[in-house]
Parts: sequence; structure tokens; C-alpha cells
Amino acid sequence: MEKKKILIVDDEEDFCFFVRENLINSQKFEVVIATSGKPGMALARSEKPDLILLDLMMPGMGGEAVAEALQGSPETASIPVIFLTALVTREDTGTGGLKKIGESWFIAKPVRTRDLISAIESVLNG
Amino acid sequence: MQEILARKRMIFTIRLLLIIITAYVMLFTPSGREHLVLKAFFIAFYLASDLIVAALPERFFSNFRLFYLLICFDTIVVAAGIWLSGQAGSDFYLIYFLIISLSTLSSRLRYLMLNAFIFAGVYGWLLFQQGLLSDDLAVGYCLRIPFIVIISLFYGFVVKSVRSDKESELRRTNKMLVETRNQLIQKDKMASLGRLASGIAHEIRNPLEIISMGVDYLDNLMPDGRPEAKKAVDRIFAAIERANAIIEDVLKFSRKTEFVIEPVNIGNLVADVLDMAGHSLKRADVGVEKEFSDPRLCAAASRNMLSQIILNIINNAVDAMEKAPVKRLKIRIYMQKVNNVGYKTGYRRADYFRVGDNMIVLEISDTGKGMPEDVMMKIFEPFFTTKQTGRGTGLGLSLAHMIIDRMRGTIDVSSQDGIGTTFYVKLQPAADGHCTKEEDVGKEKNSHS
Ligand SMILES: Nc1ncnc2c1ncn2[C@@H]1O[C@H](COP(=O)(O)OP(=O)(O)OP(=O)(O)O)[C@@H](O)[C@H]1O
Ligand SMILES: [Mg+2]
Repeated sequence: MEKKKILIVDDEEDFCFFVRENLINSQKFEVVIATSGKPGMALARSEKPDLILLDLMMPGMGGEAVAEALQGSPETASIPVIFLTALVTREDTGTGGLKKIGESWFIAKPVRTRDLISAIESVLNG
Repeated sequence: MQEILARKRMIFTIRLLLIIITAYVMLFTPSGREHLVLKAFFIAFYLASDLIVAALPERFFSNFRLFYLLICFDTIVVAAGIWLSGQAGSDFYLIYFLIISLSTLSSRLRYLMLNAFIFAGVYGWLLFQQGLLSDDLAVGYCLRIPFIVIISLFYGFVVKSVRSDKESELRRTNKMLVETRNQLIQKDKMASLGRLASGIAHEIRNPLEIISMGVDYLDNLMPDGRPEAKKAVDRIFAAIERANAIIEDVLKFSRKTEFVIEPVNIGNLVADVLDMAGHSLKRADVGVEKEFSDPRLCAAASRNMLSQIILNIINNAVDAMEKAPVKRLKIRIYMQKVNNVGYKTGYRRADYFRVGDNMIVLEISDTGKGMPEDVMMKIFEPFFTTKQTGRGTGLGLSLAHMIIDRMRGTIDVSSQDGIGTTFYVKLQPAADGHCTKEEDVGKEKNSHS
């Protein structure tokens, strides 16, 4: 099976590092990371990831603005996005931690690697 | 200051009135020709005294002793005027009541009494001196003296009681203001708790997320076949989960979106919660006594929130009865007319209820360790707990308070150290306070919550 490319945009560098290592460790993913909105958008255009993990609350350009900009550009509009947020509860998302609200996917922090992987897979598989 | 100025004007005006009347009576009545010089001197003197009053600085008028001295002075002068005018026998003595009316400006009954006696004495002497107490009409004249005293005292008494009513009202208002201020502070705390909630969630969950991912990372690096390492990982995740649970709680409670107020059959809801808590109640060997006055009592509340609140109160009660010799939980539900809107320990005066309104009261009493006053004052504060770390976050009651507030209800507590505690949750009735059949859900339909 071909590895999927995941873009992580989160202002917490340590988080990005660990998630990248953990996802790579699963042998299923290739990972690129950006620690703020603008570089994240540039990477989305140049790397054409299969999915973007996007932190909602970031200093400067927030996750929502990034997602909107991605939506607005035809190269990136079709890339699915999962928002990482501290503001939803287990009650909102159920135990898996993934929730579709409107057209957007949300996942509650903190999340364990195995839950994150199954969330990514279920979004990628439609 | 304004008040004192008004008082000064009033004194000046009434005295002027006194002077004019006295002058008129002296000069234009049948005996007007006699002692003309003396009379002119008297009027000039009295007028001068009033001008002096007008010229006095205002601070003199805030001193009640000086004020009564002035009244005494006027009393003597008026008596002298009566004597000078030769009208002791006429109704001219009624002018004294003008002076009494001046005394409304202060409310010292003792001074007024003294003054009334002075005048009665002087006036009595005048009557006697003019031989009026020994002629045919003596009875009428004699009666004037007690009449003066009684009317003066009555007047003084009325004025004083009106004043002291006002004063106690003032005190009450003042107390209420202080209470309101405390509530506002509390409300503000509550509001900032809501605002804080998302801040805390963000600030704590991000590091938790790093820890969580970091532990997974270490776990992957670990060679297989190290069961103690796996165990350590699980423990770390349990701790992360514990911290996360607090955030979950705060967020859950602080969000408006999940908040729907609907008619809730309170008896059924309590029965559901007792089912939920059944296991821990049994394990702790707590007996439950229910006293539901009417099985259909219906409150306007948020079902899920209210069951969380009741569950927390019951759990607190179970905790409090851990070492109690008698372990009994008593739950009463009844409807009550509001007859006073005081509040005890909850921070908000019950301004959601007006006197005469109905409210639905849920009373939960335990026979546990109770709490001293100083603990009771704090239990609704966020993060206040007396439990060991790991057993309580101290959020249960503060969230309950905030939520019940949003349901336009109140929560109160009364407790006796070492004897037990009662929580009172007072809710708005839905419609007339009774659920219809369809609203009667609970028990069967809602047992999953
Ligand atoms: N029935 C009771 N009897 C005696 N003390 C009580 C009772 N209920 C509450 N308290 C006191 O009030 C404190 C605060 O209660 P609260 O429910 O807010 O927090 P908690 O139970 O300590 O933690 P948690 O957030 O897990 O509920 C308790 O720690 C306890 O000291
Ligand atoms: Mg509690």
C-alpha cells in the first residue's frame, strides 16, 4: 500500500515532532510539518498532502483562516482537513475522538496515536 | 449639606412667621395700645434674633443641642410675647405649636418633652398670674396645660417613629447593597469561570497532548518484552486522563449549546440518578429514604445538567458519611410558595423567585460529617475541596451553582458540623408545576443518561 502524505500544522513544535515520529513509526504515513499558518499553506501547495491536521488555535493565522484559504484555492480545495482542538469534549466526539461538524472534521486533544491513526484512516477512506 | 441648608431656611421661615403673628396680635388687638415701647422692643429683639439665625454658619444647625437651645429660647420668648400681648387667656397660646413643628427637624423625644414642660409651666404661671385660674372659666384654662404637653408629646412621638422607620429602612437597604455587591463579585467569578474554561482547556490540553504523543513515542522506542515499561505507560495515560477529565468537566458545564431547558419530572429524574448511584450507595451501605410529595412535580430545567448536579450532591453525601455511624440519605421533593427571598450560603439572593411564586424544592440530606461555617462559605467556589488529591477536583458544587443559576433557580446549604448536611435545590416550576403524561419521561425512557 502506498504511503499517504500528512501535513501537520501546529504551533507546538514538540507536538509536531512526536506526532511525526509516531505516524512514521506506523509505516503508513509520510509526514511534513509546519509550525504556523503561512508556511503551512505554502507546504500544502508544494507538497500536495493527502490530508492536513490543523491546529485550530494558533497565534497569528488561526486554523480556521488557514482552512478557509486552502478552500479558496483550487490546488488545495480538495484536501481533507482534520482540526485539532482543545475545545471539544469526549461527549461531543464520542470515544474515538473524531467528529464531523458540518463539513469539517474535529478531533479532541489530547488524542493517542492509535486513535489519531484510525481517525485519519476513516477520513481518508471517505 | 443640602439638608442642613434646608433646615436653616425652615427655622428662619417659621420663626419669621412666629414674629409676624406675635407682632400682629400685640399691635392690632384691643389691648394694642399698652406697653407700646416694650412691645416694639420685643419685636425688634425677636426679629434681630432671627437675623442672627440667618447669619449663623450652617454647622450650628447640624448640632442638635444648639438646635434645642434655640427652641428653648423661642419657647421663652413666645411665652414672653403672650404675656406682653396680654392675650394669655385667648387662643393665642396655640402659637406654641409652631415651635413644636420646628422640632420635627430633630427627633429627640426627651428634649421635646423638656421643652413642652417648660412651656406648660411658664404658660401655667401666666394664667395664674393673670387670675385666670380662679374665675368661672378656670376649668377650660386648666385643661390647656395638659393639652399642650400631650399634643406636643404625641407629635414628637409620631415624628420619631416615622424617622426610625426610615432609619431602619436605610439600614436594610444598605445591607442589601452589600449583599448585592457580594453577589456581583460572585457572578463575575462565575462568568470568568466560563471564559477561563476555554483558556484552561487550551493551555492544559496542549501540554497534555505533547505528553500523550511523547509517551507513545517512548513506547515505540522501547524494546518489546518489558512488561513494567508497558505498565508505566498505562499509568501515565491514566494520569493524563485524570487531568483531561477536569477539563472535560469544565468545558461540559461552561457551554451554552448543550443547555436546553425543558419540563423535567423531578421525581423520575431523581429515581434515575439513584439508579445510577445505586452501586456506590450499596457499597457504602447508605440507606435511602424518599419523600416525594407528588409524583408528577415538574421543574423547568436542563435534564442532563440537573442529573449531573444531583449525582454530585449524592456522591458528596456518600463521601461525607464514610465514617458516620448512621448512614442515611433522605431526599424530599415538594412544591413551596416563596415567602421570603433571603439567601443563605449560595451567593445569589433568590431574585429569580418572587414572594408568592411557587418553586420546586429538592432537599437532599445526609447524616455525614457536616461542615464548619468556614468550609460552608467556600463550597461553591471553583476548586474548593477538602478531599485528598485525586478524589475531588472541587468543581462539582461551583458548577452546580453556575448551572442552577442559568436555570433561574438557587442552591442553598445548611449544615451542622458533625451531624449532617442538607442541600436545597430550588427550581422554577414548568407551567403549573405538574408534568403532563408525555413529559413524564424518566425511569424507563431515560435510564441511559
Ligand atoms: N454533604 C456534604 N457533607 C459535608 N461536606 C460536604 C458535603 N458536600 C460538599 N461538601 C464539602 O464541599 C466541598 C466541595 O464539594 P464539591 O462537590 O464542589 O467538590 P468535591 O466533591 O470536593 O470534588 P468534585 O469536583 O469531584 O465533586 C467538598 O470537598 C466538601 O468539603
Ligand atoms: Mg463533589
